Amino acid sequence: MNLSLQDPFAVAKEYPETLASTLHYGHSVVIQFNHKGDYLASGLSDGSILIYDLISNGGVIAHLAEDSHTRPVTSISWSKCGRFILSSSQDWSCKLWDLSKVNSDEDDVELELENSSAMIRTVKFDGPIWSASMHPQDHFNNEEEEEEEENNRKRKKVEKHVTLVTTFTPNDGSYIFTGTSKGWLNITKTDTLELVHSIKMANSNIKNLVISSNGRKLAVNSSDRIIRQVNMPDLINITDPDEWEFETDHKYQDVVNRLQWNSVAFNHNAEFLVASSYGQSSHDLYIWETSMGSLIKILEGSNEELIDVKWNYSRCTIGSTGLDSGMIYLWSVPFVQKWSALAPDFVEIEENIEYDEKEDEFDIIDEDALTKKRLEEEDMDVDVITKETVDARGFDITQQSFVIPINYEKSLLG
Amino acid sequence: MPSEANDSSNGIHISKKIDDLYTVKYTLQNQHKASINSIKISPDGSKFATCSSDATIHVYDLKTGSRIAELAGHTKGISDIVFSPINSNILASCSDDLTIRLWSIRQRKCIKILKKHTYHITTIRFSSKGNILISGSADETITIWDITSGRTLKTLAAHADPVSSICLTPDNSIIISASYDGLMRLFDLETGHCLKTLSFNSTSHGTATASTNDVLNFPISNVESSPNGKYILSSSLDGLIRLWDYMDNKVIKTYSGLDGKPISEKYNCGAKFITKTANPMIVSGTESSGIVIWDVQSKDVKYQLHQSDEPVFQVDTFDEGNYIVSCSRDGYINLLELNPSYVKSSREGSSREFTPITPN
Repeated sequence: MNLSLQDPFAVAKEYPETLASTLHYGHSVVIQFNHKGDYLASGLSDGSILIYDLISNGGVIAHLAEDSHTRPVTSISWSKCGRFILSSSQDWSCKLWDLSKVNSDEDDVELELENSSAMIRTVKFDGPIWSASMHPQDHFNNEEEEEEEENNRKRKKVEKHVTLVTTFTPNDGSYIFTGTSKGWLNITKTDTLELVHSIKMANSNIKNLVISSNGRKLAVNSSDRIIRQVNMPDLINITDPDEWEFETDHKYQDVVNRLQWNSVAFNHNAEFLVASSYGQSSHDLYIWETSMGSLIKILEGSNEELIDVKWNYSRCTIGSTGLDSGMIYLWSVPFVQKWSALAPDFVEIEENIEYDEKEDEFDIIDEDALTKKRLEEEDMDVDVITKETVDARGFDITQQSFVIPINYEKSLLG
Repeated sequence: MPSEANDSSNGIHISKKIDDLYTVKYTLQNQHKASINSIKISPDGSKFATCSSDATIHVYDLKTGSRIAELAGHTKGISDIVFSPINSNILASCSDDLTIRLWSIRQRKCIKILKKHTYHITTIRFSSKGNILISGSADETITIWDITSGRTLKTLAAHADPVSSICLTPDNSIIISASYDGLMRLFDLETGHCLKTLSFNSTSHGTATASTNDVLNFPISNVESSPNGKYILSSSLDGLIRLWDYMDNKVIKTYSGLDGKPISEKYNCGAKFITKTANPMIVSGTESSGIVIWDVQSKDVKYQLHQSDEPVFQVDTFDEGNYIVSCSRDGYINLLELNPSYVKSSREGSSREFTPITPN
């Protein structure tokens, strides 16, 4: 999508408004956008993972079905570069995928010699895995460690709490936040695996734990039907964990229907929070503005309960999965065709304008003189090389993201 | 063009030429039975391909110039070819037989045929992720294809005359199309919406949409996006090449041919940017003056390779212009290499670290 030539008012919108498209290959249970926002990974109930290209209207780029999970996928995490995917499943395992190995040509001799499976690592656990996340920076080195951490946490099951959700702190990944079945928030240092801080957030189990990508806000979704929005302490400058304060900023709840929330997500700067609601009768997504805590938008359009919800920052799109059909719903900002774009001298005006003939409007000008004047005006220097570093929404566009290879000879889905 | 303006600038042109800017590595002759319409270098720089009105595609080793494959299957002349940006083994071609074909060079066979256009297909391009193909046709439409599924994503009713050339901005967001109706249009790749229309009028009060006969827009034969995607280079059949600031709807540079000759009044002669040199340049084929290179800023002709008076139909560059290939109507293929002493010293901002050919 080119933003610089679009209606600036549409570009400036901060949250999606209308259901733009649906994707339906297989029964999707969990979704995740890559960091650049051009691919969408969808975990299916049969354990495989589909990857869609969002630029081509949701064309399927890859299907990770070989060596895949045998039970439904529970979480997907992309590496920052976009080449690796970490998935977790109810089949008690986590798998690491290398997308450079998908869709390889079968007659490519070089690839046949090495292991050609895109699944490059798998770790077995002694219980179903609810979530696995990649370390934000050091994904390759920390991979297994991270999964073992997950393992450690699972072992605590024997004790009285059951850890349900985990997440890394964004940017540096130096801490791991976990939520337990008794409503406690535990913070562990990533390198030493030491528990450094523990605080009770709610009286019932924590279902989701989401830290905004700028690290400012934390959303705790627990089964007491309340989403608690917490201001994050300065984890980098305040080194003593005992001084951290987790102050609840807002509590979001549906007072009338007493709905539970299935899943929550922040936008890029944590100014907005979106949540999907539990129950057969509710089919909508709720968006709140986080500074005042007011509900500003209800996203409609699905005919079923929505489970997972994710925010695609750079494309200003919200994706969600349907419980019954397994469809993926995508809401985004609509752009309309401007008819004034169809000819260089068309202008869109609000009111009629009185035509005023200019003094020289129909003068016959000597063409040669005009051409000469034009050529003389062309003496300034042009920079044809330097690219823009941010797009019209202010996102960094300099970072290169991995491009998933394509098998041109075979159709993926028959 | 006023003739006296040309005459006075010609003297300057010649004196500013750098005769050793490029050296000809090799020249191939009589490779096809008819004119060679397009030439493209693969993204890994290992090979190049040519297509011809004799309905065949030839693939050559770039280093040696020896032919490694001949791809036959089209039933009529082929106007344009393009390599997949992510796989140098995959080539797409478009032909007057109304088909677009996808070829595996290693297997020397056609692996996919795309059919939708109702008249000659003139031009094709890949998006940089290699999953979207865009084709422009003499049926006046542009079609966007999803290569992974083989389906058409969109068909844009783009112009009132044959589409002559299309290109994409480097961020893949805008399709720029050019047509014989004299207009350039900018389309959003995802939505298919027309974002802007550009046309050049010589008269001060001409409008693109006026129905009067005195407004004449010369056909645009070729468009190319600048490396940063902010400007458009258009070749017009009034014999000039123009650089557009499309945000401002303004022509900011005009390049003219040598000795007052038009660059091209009949054919698409191709045009590319060269950014390997200290100052950016533009290379284009011409109708009767061989290959010509201009300095972007000063608009002076810096280099000319004039082998025959036959038109050069296409030029392509590799490694920011370190190598140039060209093809002509009379069947000449040339490989030119930039003289290393003109390579810009600081390599910042360069996306490629390797050169496939070691300089002898």
